[in-house]
Amino acid sequence: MPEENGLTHEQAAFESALSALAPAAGLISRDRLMFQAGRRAAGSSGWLWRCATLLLALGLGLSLMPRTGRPIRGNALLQPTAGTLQLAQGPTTQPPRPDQRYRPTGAEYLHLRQLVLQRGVAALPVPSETSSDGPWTRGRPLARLLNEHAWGTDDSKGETP
Amino acid sequence: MRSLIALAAAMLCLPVCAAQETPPSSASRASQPAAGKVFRLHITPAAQPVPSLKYQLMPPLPDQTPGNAAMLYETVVEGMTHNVSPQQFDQIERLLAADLKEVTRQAVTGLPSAAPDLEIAARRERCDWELPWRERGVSLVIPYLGRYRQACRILALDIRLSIAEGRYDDALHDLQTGFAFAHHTQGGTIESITIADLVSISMLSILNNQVIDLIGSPGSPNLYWALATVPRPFANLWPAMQMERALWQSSIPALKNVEKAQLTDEQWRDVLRQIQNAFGLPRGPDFLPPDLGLAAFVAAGYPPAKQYLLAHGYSEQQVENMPVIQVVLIHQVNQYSQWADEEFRWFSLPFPQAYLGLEKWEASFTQAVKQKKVGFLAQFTLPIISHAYLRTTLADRQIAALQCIEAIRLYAADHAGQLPRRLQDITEVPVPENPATGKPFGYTVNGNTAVLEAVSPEPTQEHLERYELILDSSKPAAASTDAKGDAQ
Repeated sequence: MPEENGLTHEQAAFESALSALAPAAGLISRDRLMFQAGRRAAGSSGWLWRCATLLLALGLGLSLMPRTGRPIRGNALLQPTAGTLQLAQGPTTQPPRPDQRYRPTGAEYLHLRQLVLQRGVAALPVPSETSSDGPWTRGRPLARLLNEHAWGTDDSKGETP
Repeated sequence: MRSLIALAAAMLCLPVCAAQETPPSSASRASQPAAGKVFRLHITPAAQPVPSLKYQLMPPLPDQTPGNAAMLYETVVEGMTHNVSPQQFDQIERLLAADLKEVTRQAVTGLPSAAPDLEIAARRERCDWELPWRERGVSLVIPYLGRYRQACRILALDIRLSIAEGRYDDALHDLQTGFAFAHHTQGGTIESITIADLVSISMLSILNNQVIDLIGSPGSPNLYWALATVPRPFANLWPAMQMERALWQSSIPALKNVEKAQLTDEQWRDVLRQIQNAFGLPRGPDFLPPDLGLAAFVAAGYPPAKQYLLAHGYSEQQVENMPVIQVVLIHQVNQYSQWADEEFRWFSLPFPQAYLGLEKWEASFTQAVKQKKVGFLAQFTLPIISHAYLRTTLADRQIAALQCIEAIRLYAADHAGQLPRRLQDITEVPVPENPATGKPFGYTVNGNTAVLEAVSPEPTQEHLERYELILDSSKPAAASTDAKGDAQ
């Protein structure tokens, strides 16, 4: 049969027994707990730092090991081969500034000049004749381009609108 | 600094490759076999045209339009040459070298034509590439001038066809386009670069071959005054030499005032790396880091550089206080300036006066290189520039030789179809001298055949040109016309 507060007889007896209990002194010291926690935190990452240091040392040592004689400037890897330019973009964490996106090898004019003085102007390079421009090749008369675009004809087949 | 020198000295014990390219000597040029060229022309007497300047090989000023032709040329030349196949270029070359009678409409069918596209650009007042050489120096990127020579060859075939078909007026109009095109390629009279000047005279040579064909065609007009109006020198190298003289200061700003520059050690190393990139200085074996190669290079250059500075007013203390690389670079830059000025000054004199001076310079420079008394800046940039002066002069020589031939045709027209016994006998017009020697052309005559010889100062005469002129008086002479157009 429920009591006035909604508890059964057994529940009320249990409540009464609980209220008779007194809190005991804690076995854990807060201050000590914080200290231990901090100490353990420092101690557990110490080996991490030691490992990180070792890795860095190894990395530094490897960087001083044999490597090719490529000059590195900014974010670009330059390969100064005579008469040609090869530009490979190295790893970067931010967009390159305009002056870093294209850096010539540094001697185009000089190489060309020496080439011409030694071998004559016939040695001057001429761009590759192959083109991947598709139908919009350079130098085609405007009228022809417009016609092809309007009518979809292919001039190479000799078709005219 | 001292630790750097010590480290570098230690590295010198390693097999650092320090091979340096030796510049070509004048002996290698002299060893080439003497070849020369012979042109055989059947010429007819031809009086002066009336009016005298009826024909001109450069567009007269009233025919020129304002503006810069550079962009027009780039667009036209790029489009024209891009759409020509290698087989078509081979066909063009074959027809340019073939006998004139082989150049027919049928033979050129399918080949491109250059004249209509180039005509507008060639009549612009100027052509200025606006190249940023002051800012870029050795890093300067220039237009693909090889394409310009290709375009000139396409135009030359147009001209050749006109000559073969007897359309001399058309040929002369297109020659005017071509001469302007060739002259414009230099990029202006105020600023120019050596390569553009050499490409220009190469194009002139292609066009001169067509002038020779025209002169050798029956009834062709007299071109004495047309040739006289062609600019001389056709390519003036002096602006380009001024650019060459400032090459290093333009390329690397730190070298502009190398003696007073206040840079950190790392900044000086960066300057050296820039120079290394520009020239491909010896890097040493691949298994060594590149900066060790530079260090060795600096270590080798420091002692003579220090001696140089001490001998030129610097105190021991001043030199000791300077970064090592700066000491080396001051020496290099000053050496470059000295050798450069001693070479380039000759370009301000007429070639006959300059030739011996340039030969002596080259001999002393080669000797100094062998004795390791020339720094790398001078060594890698100054040799064989003097060849450019010879080439431009040979181009002028050909113009003068053709003008001389026209003077002979004038004489023949005035003297009943007879060749002059000597060039001095020609009084109708002044006879030009050989600009390569400053002396008259060689001339001999035998009956109705004359030989005009264009020599050069070189002992080997590898650039000799000989014009064998066979006068055919039976063919109708080129008629001069009065102002009303009536033949006389």
